[in-house]
Amino acid sequence: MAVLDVRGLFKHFGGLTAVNDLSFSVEEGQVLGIVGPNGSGKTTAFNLITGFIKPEAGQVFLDGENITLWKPYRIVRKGMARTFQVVKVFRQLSVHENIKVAKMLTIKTIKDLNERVEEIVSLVGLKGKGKEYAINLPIGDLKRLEIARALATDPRVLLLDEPFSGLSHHEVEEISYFLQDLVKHGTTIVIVEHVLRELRKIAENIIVLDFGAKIAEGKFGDVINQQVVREAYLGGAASAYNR
Amino acid sequence: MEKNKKAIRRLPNLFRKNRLYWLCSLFLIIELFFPLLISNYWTLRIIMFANIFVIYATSYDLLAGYGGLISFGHSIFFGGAGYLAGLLSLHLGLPLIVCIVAGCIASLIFGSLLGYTCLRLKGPYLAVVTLICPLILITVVHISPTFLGGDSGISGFSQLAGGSLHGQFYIVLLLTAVSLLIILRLAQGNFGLLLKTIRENEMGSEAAGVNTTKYKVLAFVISGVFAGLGGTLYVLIMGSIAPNTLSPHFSMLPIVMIYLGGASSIFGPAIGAYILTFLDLYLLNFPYVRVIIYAVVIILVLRLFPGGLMAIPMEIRRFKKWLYST
Repeated sequence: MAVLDVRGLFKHFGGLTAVNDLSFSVEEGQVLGIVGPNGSGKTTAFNLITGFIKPEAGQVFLDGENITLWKPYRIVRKGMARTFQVVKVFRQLSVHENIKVAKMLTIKTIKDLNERVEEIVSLVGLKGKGKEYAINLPIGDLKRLEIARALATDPRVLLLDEPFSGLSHHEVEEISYFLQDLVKHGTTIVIVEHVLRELRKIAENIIVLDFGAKIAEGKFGDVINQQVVREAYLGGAASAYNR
Repeated sequence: MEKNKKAIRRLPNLFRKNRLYWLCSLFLIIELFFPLLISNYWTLRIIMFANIFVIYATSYDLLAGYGGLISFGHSIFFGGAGYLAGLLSLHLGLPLIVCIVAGCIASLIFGSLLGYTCLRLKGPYLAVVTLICPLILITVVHISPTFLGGDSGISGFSQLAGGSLHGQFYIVLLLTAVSLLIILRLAQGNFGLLLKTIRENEMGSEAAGVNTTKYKVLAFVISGVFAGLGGTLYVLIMGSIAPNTLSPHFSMLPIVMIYLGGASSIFGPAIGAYILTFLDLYLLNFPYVRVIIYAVVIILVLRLFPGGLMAIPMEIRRFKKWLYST
């Protein structure tokens, strides 16, 4: 049975259809990439799945339970955590506190809590920066911190929204290695990303969105070479030129 | 020596963590001797009122400083609870402790109502809605002169400790110490941390699994209860209450106090409460100069130390660092 099952999600803002009849499912331990040009509805789809926006139609199932109209915090507690394209860490709090907030929902004793937080700090490569305020961290570390906060909720499914955006080449490589490590440990991940070179290393399967609708789905290598996907990314004329 | 270390280890966490707790406790202990050391009736009364405003300001710090929920109508709790306590004492002749508890319970109920009403509001929208609430109550007071006293308010009810200054001083001191300890515990613990995450980034907070609705309402409720406690004490010491306790002036007081002292620090607002109460009451005889001095002090502090008075040590450290580096 699929851990995450999305069925016919639909959302429009005014005259713009942001997400149009989107359906997909993710199996336990699978990594699914979502790609598409800017404005194709990837982040809106994430917001619909994680409860930050209510869909007009469609349903979302997590572990077989319908979570469609649940509030975001309930979805997190059920086992689906996310990160944001523009990081939403708590900048006036320390790295340790940022993670502690998410961890203290499941662990109540101070000693265990601090130990687990330290483990997560080390896991994401922020060891030695636990007392540092988030506001003083470079963007690469902020991305790590946001992933750490998501991991601290013990998620069954992790949704990553453009984890490589705004990073230097070196930082992209570091985060990519880290994500590959997570995948090896069997974490179920849905990832929205534009950096296809890195996405290829992480996600075996991808779906492609254009104007809110799914236009292709399948293995990375097969999908990315499809004519319809090239046109969506490069436009009709550019695609013709490429040919 | 080893014995002392063990004793220190047994102390509650908050005392080990922060030397400001010690300073605060020390100050409250010294205050125990004020009635014996200070013979001036007026000075003792000002200290007592300063303690009431410490409760009011620190309760507001929990809501606005920690939670980022800036309310422009906190006087609804202060004055509202005060009115209720006064009315219960005047019309039903209830014991004052019952009046105080009733005032706090009313603040609790109104805090939860206001919290739920303001759930989706932020910044100026929250400010406007909260500003309107006490104004509505002022209008109700004005249009019911027989029951609520109208413009002149109500008076003639029993005073705290039978009007004895020393009795009132110790009751207020005890309740200030208890309130301060509870507010500190909440602010420095998980509750304060969760409120800070809501202030910093509400979406991020939800993404961390925090039920932001629950904690925002709780912040209104807890803050309201302590502001209500301050209001009932204020009224039961004055022996009268007028609609001005619901006015925007009383709503602005805790805002100025927390930013003067340093928001989200609890101690800062307590210091701010002392400074403003002393300035306000000692300069009563100079009505025009008073406002100017009041304004100049606030502007100077906030201009030189945007983080409030609590930021002074940090600014000094930064200055020293700069001095050594050059």
